[in-house]
Amino acid sequence: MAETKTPALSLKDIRKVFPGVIALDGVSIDFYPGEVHALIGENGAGKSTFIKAITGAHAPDGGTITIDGETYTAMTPALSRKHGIECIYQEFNLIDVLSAAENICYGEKLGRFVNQKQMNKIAKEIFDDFGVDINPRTLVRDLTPGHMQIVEIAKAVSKKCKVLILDEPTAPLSLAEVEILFKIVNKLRDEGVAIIFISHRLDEIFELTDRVSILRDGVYITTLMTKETNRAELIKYMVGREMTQTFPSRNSEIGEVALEVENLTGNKVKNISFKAHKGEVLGVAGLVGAGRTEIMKVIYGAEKKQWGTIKINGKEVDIKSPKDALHKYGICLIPEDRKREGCFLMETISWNLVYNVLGDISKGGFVNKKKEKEIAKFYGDAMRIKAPNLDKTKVMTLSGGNQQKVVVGKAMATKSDIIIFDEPTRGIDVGAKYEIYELMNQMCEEGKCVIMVTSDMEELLGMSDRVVVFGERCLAGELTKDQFSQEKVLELASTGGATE
Amino acid sequence: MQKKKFSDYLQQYMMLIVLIVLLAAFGVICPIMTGRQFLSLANLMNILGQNAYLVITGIGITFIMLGGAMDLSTGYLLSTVGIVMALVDGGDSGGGSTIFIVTALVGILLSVVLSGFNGVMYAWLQVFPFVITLATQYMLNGATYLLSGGVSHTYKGLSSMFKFFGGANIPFFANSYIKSGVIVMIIMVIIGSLILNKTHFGRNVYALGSNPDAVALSGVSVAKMRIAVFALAGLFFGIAQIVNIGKIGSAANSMGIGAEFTVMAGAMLGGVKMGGGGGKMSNMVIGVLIIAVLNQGMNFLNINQYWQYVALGIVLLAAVTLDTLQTRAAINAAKKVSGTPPKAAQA
Repeated sequence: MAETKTPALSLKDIRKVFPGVIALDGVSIDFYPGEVHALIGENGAGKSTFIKAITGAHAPDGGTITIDGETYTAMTPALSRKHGIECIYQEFNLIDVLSAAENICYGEKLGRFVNQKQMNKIAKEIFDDFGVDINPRTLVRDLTPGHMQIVEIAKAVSKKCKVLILDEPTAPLSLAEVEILFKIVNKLRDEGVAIIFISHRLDEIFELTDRVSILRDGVYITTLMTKETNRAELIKYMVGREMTQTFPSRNSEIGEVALEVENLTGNKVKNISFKAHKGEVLGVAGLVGAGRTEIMKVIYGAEKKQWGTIKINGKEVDIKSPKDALHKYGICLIPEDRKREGCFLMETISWNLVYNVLGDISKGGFVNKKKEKEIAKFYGDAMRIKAPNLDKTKVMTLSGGNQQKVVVGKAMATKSDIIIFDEPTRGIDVGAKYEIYELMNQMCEEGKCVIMVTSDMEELLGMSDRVVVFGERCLAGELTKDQFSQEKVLELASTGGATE
Repeated sequence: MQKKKFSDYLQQYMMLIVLIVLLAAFGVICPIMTGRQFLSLANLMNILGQNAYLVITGIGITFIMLGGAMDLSTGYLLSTVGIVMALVDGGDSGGGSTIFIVTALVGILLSVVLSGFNGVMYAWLQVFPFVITLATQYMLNGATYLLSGGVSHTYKGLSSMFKFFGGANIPFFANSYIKSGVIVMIIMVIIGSLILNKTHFGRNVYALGSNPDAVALSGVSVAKMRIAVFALAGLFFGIAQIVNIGKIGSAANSMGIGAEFTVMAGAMLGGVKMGGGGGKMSNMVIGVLIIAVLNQGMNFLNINQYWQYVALGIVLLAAVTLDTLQTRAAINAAKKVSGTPPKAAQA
């Protein structure tokens, strides 16, 4: 280990608590100059929160951050900049309508007036140094994603950064672009920059990094020399989570195939095939961004299908819109982002619960108030929504768990046979989670087909009868119940790499 | 059951209270300052009669605003529709040469089509309707003059049926009269409220303004809804202009221009949320009436027209400020979680 050197950045006992979740629980990691340090962990392991503590986006609830011999209990974005910490996120932080050079020099004082010539010179020097051919005068919006990223890195370098954080930098890049990126990263390492590299592509970890630290459920697990470890060991550390949560048991009979998709392609996801049965919970696993939500939206008719077939109860169907899915073929989707896509926050609980079935309870366009009240009450009770008054309480004022129950209730009211849950329990408390699981079981017992997209490993293995795993925008494999293991899921999910 | 607090009632009826306070204030001040009786039945009926067409226009605007959109073209649409109706009717010399029902239907249908066109462009391009309705505003402004032969013109001697629907004096008690347009206004407000509150369509209007993404995922076509909302608004615009012509007794190129701002201001003042998500028809009616009473009261006090604009702007800004602060407080309250922080030792 490089213990003889002084760390460029040192974090000790970093702790961060969000309502109901401990995102980081005493994490200590040192980052050394001239080293590429990988940070890995499953979805929700706490990587992003850790990075945000370094960049000052979050103030930790405990612990210290030491840089340049100064120790802080919390950073601010300005302070972290001042100490030469630069972070490149997956979403680029560039101004589209300015040129590459203007972006690189943005915020720098180069004299009283904007000096295009000098900016272009600075940018050109950095690009030459990187060995890339980008015209500094090109507007950022006209660049490829790979080049945009290089502009980001150049911007960091022009600020003489000492710590460079790359958050999933290869996700939007092609293979050739990844190669250029690695060359630049290696060059910066040789110049003594401390680089923190976050990626879920294990191959890249082995290709590029010197050391690797593993986080799991907000807890620091270990740091290893990359040379001295292997894939299996890393996966073992990443998943070594104890399965402590209990799941309600269900008593359902797995019947015929309810939904079958074959080579389904659309919304940037390619050739997906799987079957889902009646009375079954089909788990859909994959890392964030693997294309699970995207393909579900294609099945639901909310996004265009490019090719492939969808069969319901053995019959090929053509789902053109969510209207078809919901009212013609009995498929409903409980979206991932309940606030943005799932419910009407400004309206009341009853209003939301009946929204999808208004057509059925209206006569001549007029809504039957009596039936409306009955339905709202039925599903409000069935979902055990805790609120002062179903007819008066606005969804906005409910807890996340109760909001999700409203969304589920709204979907249940349609009496669909195929129910797609996208991250059904994200951000809700344990009690509400259990209730959602019970509702799923109830659906299965009624012979419905439940498809559950989830990033929560415990939930995936605890609730599913079968699991399909997504790689990057493709299907990586399928696991039956006897094959269930955290390692296998993660191994399948982290294969695949950049596309051509 | 949640018990309603006094402050909830205050918030709910705030603008109604403001309207009543304004009436009372002018009722006291006007006789003292200028010796004119503001709180007479005749004056109140006059205010209603003068503003009936604005309220009817407001019904359409309320649908548009609740659906998450806006419309800058309304005033010019009114004037264009007015000119077309005058032409169909027979214009200056032969007023009433076409059966009135035909004239009215042509006007209303044209209004539905023109407003519906705004809706079609909005649904198709999916840009904020500011740009679209700004463009159609220009087009309609040109069209209204082109239709009258390229010059400004006032069509007089129109069919008496216009007056029947807008400007006829119906005896009311205590020697006062109620304008026929006010009756039309009341009927339209009731119809508008019924559509908004009791129908599936009305629900979808609220849903559209509140969360179009969720509407799309619920299997309702956002595009069709947007077109329908604008087309329905067009229906009310057409009726409003019939009442307006009836009230004035003639049709001119500039008739109705500016209505869009008065009405949007009124709706906002009353509590209809721009960008959708809340508000009732009654909010708009109260808001438009507040503006009407303010104007009339200041006229009674002989206050300069330009000071009236300033006053109206201040009132509108105050209402928006108040509303925003309330919403912000509600959002902040909703962000708070109940319970205690988790124990530090939890693994």
